[in-house]
Parts: sequence; structure tokens; C-alpha cells
Amino acid sequence: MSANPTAAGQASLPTGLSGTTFTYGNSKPAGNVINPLNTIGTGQNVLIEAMFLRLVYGRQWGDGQNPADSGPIDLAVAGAMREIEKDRVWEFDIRPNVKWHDGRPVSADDVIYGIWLALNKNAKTTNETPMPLLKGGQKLLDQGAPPTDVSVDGATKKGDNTVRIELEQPVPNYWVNWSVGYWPMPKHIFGQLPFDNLFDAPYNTMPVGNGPFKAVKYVDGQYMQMAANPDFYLGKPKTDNYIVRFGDGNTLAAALEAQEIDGMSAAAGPVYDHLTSLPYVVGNPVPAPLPYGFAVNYQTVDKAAELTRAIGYAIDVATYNKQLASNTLVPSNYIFGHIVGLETPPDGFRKPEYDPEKAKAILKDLNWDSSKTLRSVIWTPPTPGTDALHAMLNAVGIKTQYKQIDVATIYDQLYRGNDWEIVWTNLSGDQDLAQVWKYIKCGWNYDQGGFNAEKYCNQELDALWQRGLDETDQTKRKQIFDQISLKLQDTSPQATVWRTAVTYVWNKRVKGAYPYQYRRPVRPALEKVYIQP
Amino acid sequence: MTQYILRRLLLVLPLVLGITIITFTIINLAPGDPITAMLDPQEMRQLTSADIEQRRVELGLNQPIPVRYLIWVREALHGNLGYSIQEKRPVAEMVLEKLPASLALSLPSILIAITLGVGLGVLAALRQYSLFDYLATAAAFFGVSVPGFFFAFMGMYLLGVKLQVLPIFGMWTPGQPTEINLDLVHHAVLPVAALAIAHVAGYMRYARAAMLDSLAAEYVVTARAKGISEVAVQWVHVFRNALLPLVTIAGLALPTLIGGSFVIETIFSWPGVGLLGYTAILQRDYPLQMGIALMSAVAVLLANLVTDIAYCFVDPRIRYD
Repeated sequence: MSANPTAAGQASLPTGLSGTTFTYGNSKPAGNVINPLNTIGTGQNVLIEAMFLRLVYGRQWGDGQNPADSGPIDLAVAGAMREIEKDRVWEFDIRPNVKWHDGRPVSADDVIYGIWLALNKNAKTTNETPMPLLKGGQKLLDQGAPPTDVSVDGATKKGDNTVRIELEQPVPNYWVNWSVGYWPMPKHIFGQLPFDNLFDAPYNTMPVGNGPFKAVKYVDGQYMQMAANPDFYLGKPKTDNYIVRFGDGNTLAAALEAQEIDGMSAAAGPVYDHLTSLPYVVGNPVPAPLPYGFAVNYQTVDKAAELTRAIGYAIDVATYNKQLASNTLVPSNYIFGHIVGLETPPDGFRKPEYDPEKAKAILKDLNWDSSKTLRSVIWTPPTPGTDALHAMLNAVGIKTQYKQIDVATIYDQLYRGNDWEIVWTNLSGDQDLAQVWKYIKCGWNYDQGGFNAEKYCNQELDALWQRGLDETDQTKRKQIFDQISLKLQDTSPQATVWRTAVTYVWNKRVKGAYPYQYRRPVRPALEKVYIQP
Repeated sequence: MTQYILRRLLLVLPLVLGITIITFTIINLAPGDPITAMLDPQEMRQLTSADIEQRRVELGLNQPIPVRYLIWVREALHGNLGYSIQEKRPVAEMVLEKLPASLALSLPSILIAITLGVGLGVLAALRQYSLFDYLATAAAFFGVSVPGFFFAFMGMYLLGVKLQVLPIFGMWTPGQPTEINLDLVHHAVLPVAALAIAHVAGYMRYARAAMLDSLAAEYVVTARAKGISEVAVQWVHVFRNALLPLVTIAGLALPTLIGGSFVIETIFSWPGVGLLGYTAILQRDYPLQMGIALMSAVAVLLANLVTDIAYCFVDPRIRYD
């Protein structure tokens, strides 16, 4: 391990806006583990993105909420990529100048080892997006493999620095969808450890990565100090030090105002408005892919499809956006807008519309009992935002009351339980349509491996969806999902109304800040960030 | 005295047992468990239903609560408080690691609170119904009525954000040595003050009341009649007798040395036992919660014992033999 946890810490570093240190505020990494194969939250991902590189990244960042819809894959550990068989087989040449932070070059073995470890059931990794479409991947996920058998059918070595990736079947846009799961891992380090110790000290908090910054010092509950990696393949980062300080949201907001930190993600609304009103702070809303809206429980609500449509008309997105969300929301009722290749809705798709009279008319047709109270599940205390949304429902005659549950009981109470009627939630921001399907497909509740909490079921739609997934021609696939979109307009598990944004705030002296993108296959180019003197 | 201490120590055992039974039951009856607490509500994909069940079995969470409690007691009797479910580290090690940080806040805050509170209370009693007494009483009511987190936020806003003379959060400036130094003191000022202010008010009220009681006692009249100087009357006869109730109040503050302050440590991101406990509750980390609860319970019971023993020294009339 090259990073010395104590020596570099002896030097007193300037923080905040002083000189060459970029200080970001974030939550503490869950479980004190910083490893791409054990991630459960943003607190870890912010650090992982600074210290680790993927094999490739989906695309360069485009405009708005999506990566560019065309252009080359953004190569990282791989320096060259060849498509051997359309949408199914590729070969990647590993860059000779990408090194682990201890100086060892990243090899084809490391790439294969990372894939094997991520998929291996016995290793108990928690990779955000494993690679089930990889040839032999499902077998590893289901059965596991002993430490002595580091092999994956679909990831093979073709020479010292070349890896061949082979899928079970052609998949359009595979690397845009799935590159998020391909993390090379240092086999010379983790290969020596029993599976049970993969995420233990010292590598849990002092990882040996291959990214633009190297771990220098981790102080539990306080901060992670990283130093610029002089051997980074794109050159040494512009800032000498990158420090991520840990704190809760309100404390970090005060720290940003006091200029103790340079940037953070602040919730849209009053805090964001206040911070961006400061002369030295600039807001940076980055559209997020998750489509939000009220979802209706199809098992506990009669005529749920019609009620969902009424709810869609009842939400005054423009007013909410202006008054409570700092104008950072992206109004949208099209759930595939974040998926490369499906960005635009089909002809004839209704635009989002706030029309309380239409909502009332639908409810009248339903003979809706306006004295009936729907229980609306929330897992954080009510906010002005949730109050406003429920007031909008009340205004058209849909009476609600909060059913507040503990966040740790979502699994039992929301996804498996049935004692609720509506919930404000998202319908997956995944690039992969197979994952999105898990929120909609008949019978795919949590116990079946899905997330269809609403118990929505439309077998005609499921058949189309399966056809869409099987279709390898991108144009034909788009046509199928256009049909699905049109069908979902009339019968949907969710009244989708907007996509949120991750609202970053930066001190204006921070230049080129490129934040971690929630579940996006795009590399945050942290080596380009600098502090203007 | 020795017999008394031994008797009290023996009484500690059933008390600790009772406390741990109640705590263990309540903790385990709270909705959710350490596994479901790992799930990100935004995306439920990290763990499948099968994963959740498998991990519950691995951690023994599928066992009935009484069985789990007995296992916990058996291990605790062997000095093993278990492993944190979230961090997979020994609980005792984690708590002991955080203890110095909590002590760095609670020790100075208690000392400041006692010194300042008792001092102001004594002065207020000696100058009863003076302007100083009224001002001090008003300030004390304000201090007692307003929660500590309010002072924390006000201090953070005024001294950290507006004047920028004190750091907002953390224990050290990143990159500075993580040891006892001026940087640590600088970071401790706001949280120590926030912790101390509320206690100052409490101590002041108790000290004032105790002093006034003593001042009205007949032995004070006697002392004055004997021609003893007023200074000697106030400090030897009045103050010493007024100390008895103060010892009780001060003794009750001792457990916070161990348990830390959940609220203040969280607000200032101060990595002590309080912040550790708060995180453990959110994450449903049962072994860690139990470890902290056990240590806090033992601290409370020992503090009571220390307080009782201290009575002997401040009041020679009290004897336990």
C-alpha cells in the first residue's frame, strides 16, 4: 500500500479555499468501507469516484440529464476497445500507464478479477450493478466460486493486456447501460485476502485504487484526505489535495457559508435558495434520472389507473418548482427519458399538464368518494414539499393522511406489506430497461426480486416489454418502447410528474467542479477541478 | 465504609441485568433491523429478499429475542460485547476509541458548568434581590428553558458563519495532527460552550437555592452571634452545607462523560460516543447500541456510588458503617 496513513497527515494542510486543496462536504461512508464492490450509498461513491476507475464509462456527458446519445465510449482503464461481434463481443486493451496507487500497473488479470469478485456469490459483494448479461455471470451470481477459481466465461484474457468480454446475447447500448459495474480490482492485494476480510482494515478506509486521487488519511467520522496521484494516466490533478469532510446536511450548509468547505449537495428549496443567494456561492443543479410521482397501490385502491391519471393532473408542478424546489425540477411524465436511445417520447404522447378540472372530472366519472382517506406512506417527517403535494390532491377531492413509517421498515411495510394506498416515490432511474421493468412487471414484488410495490399488473405490457428487451435492433426496440409508453399513459403504476436534480452548491472560486453523478455511467473528471486563487 | 461499597457494588449487578433486559427488548422491538436499515429507500436494489433473509440468519436475527439476549449476556460476561453489524468491528474497541473524543467535550463542559454555575449561584444568593441576582436568575431561567441544540446553532451561526472566528464542525482541521493541540481546543469551543450553558443555568439555580437554605439555618445565626467573620460564615458554614445537594446534581452529570451527548456531537460532527450511538440507532446496529447502553448504565450506577461516597466527605454527619 503506497498511501501512508500517518506520514502525510503530519503536514498541516490548508482547507477550504486556501490554495490547492479542494474540500467537499458529504455524509460519512456507510460502514467505513470505501470499495466499489461494497457500496450502498452516496457517502461511499463520492470517495470511490475519486480513487477508482472503471474499465470504461458509458459516454461523455451530454446536455441535460443524459450522457451524449452518440459518440465514443469514454475509455478509462481500457485504452482501446474493439467490437468483435455487434453488441455482444468486445476486446479491450488495458492502458499501460494506468497504475494502482502502490505503483503496480493495472493488468488484464485485475480486470477479470474485479468482474469475478463482483459476481461471485461467495465474496458477498454489494456491487451497485453486477453484470448478469455477461456470459457465465449468472452462474457465478447463483453458485459462487472458490478463491482458487478466478475465471468468468465471458471475461477472458487475450494476451497480457487485453481482455475479451462476451455476452450471452447481443445487447444494444451495453456499455452505456452496464459500464457502471466494471471495476478492475487489485488482485495482488485482494487476492491474498479471505472473502470474509475483503472489506476490513486497512483497505476499507485506505483503499489502493487507480483514480486521480490517492488515500492519505482517513479520520473516522471526520474526513478523508486524498492527495493528487502524480501517476494518473491523464496527468496529475490540478488540486494537490482533495478532502471530503463528513457531516450532516445542515452542518455542511453552515460550513459552506462559513467557507470551511468548497462544495456540497444541498436539498433544493430554502437551504439551496439561501446558499445560492450568497455572493460567493453558485448553484449547480444536475438533473437526476429518477422519475418521481405518486404511485397508487393497485391492490388496495379500486380503479387505481384512473386515480393515477387524476393525480397526474392535480399536481401543479410549475408552482411547486418555483416556490419549493428552487426551479430545479424537470417536469416530465415520460419514464424512459433518461435512457439512451429512448430520450424522446413517441408522437401522440400527452405532455405533462396541470389541470385540476380534468382531475376532478376523472374523479367524478369514478364516483370518487371525496370523504375517503388514502394513506400516504412517508419515511421521513413531513416537509413543506410533501404537505404541498398532498394539499394539491386534497384540492381536487383526494383526501389523504400520512402514514409515517421508519426508513428501516420500508422493506416490510412498503414493498412487501399492503397496508397503504399511495406513496410518493420514483420509478427507477436505471439505464437498463430490465431493471426498470422490475418496478412494473406483474408479480415482481420484492420477494420475487422486483420492486413492484404497487402490485401493478398489465400482462399485455409485460409481453411487449419482453419483446423490447429481446429486440437487438435499436430502432425496432425504440418502436416497442414507444408502444409501451403510450399504453402506460392510460394505465400506469405512477403519476409521474418530474425528475429531480442533484443540487450542488460551489464556492465561486471552485472551477471545473464535476460532481459525482448518481448512478450515471459518466466519469466525474475530478482531475480538472481547481481553486481560483 | 468498605462493606457499604461492596454492598452497593453487589446491588449493581441485578440493576445492570434489569437495565440490559429492558434495553435489549426495546432495541429489538424497534421497527426494522440492521439489514433492512442498509437499504437505500431511493433504490431498493442492493439486497434481494433472499439476501436479506440469509443475512438475518447469519446474524442470528431469526432467533427469538430471549435467546438472543441470553447469547448476548453469555458473551458480555466473557468480556465480548459483540461486533458492530455495520462496521464488523468489536463494539468495545469502537466505544473505547470514541471515548476520548466524548471526554474532550464533556469533561471541560462539566467543569465549566460546575465552576460557573455554582459560583454565580452562590453570588446570587449572597446578593439576594440585588440587580445581579435578578439578572442571574433571568439568565438561568433562559438557560434552563432553551435546549442545548439552540445554543449550538446560535453559536455556529454567529461565531462560525457570521464572524468566522470558530470552526463550524469537526474535531480537527483536516491535515492537522489528530492529537491534543490548540486546533482541537479551537474546534471544541463551540460544542463545549453549547453543552455547558444549559448546565450552568441548572447548577446556578441549585446553588442559589441551597445557599439560601443554609443562610436561613439556625447554625448560621449562631455563628454570626459568636462574632465569626462574615466571610468565614459564608464560606465555612453556609457554603459547605450547601454543597450536599450540589454533589448529587454533579454526580448525575458524570455519566455524560462516558455516554457523550447525542445531539451536540451530531450537530458538530464530533466523533464521540454520542455520535456513534446516534448512528447505531439509525442503522439498527443492535450490538453497538447494547454496548453503549451497557457502558452508560454502568457509568450511571457507579456515578451514584461515587456521589454517595462523596457525601461522607462534604457532610461528616453521614456515615455508612
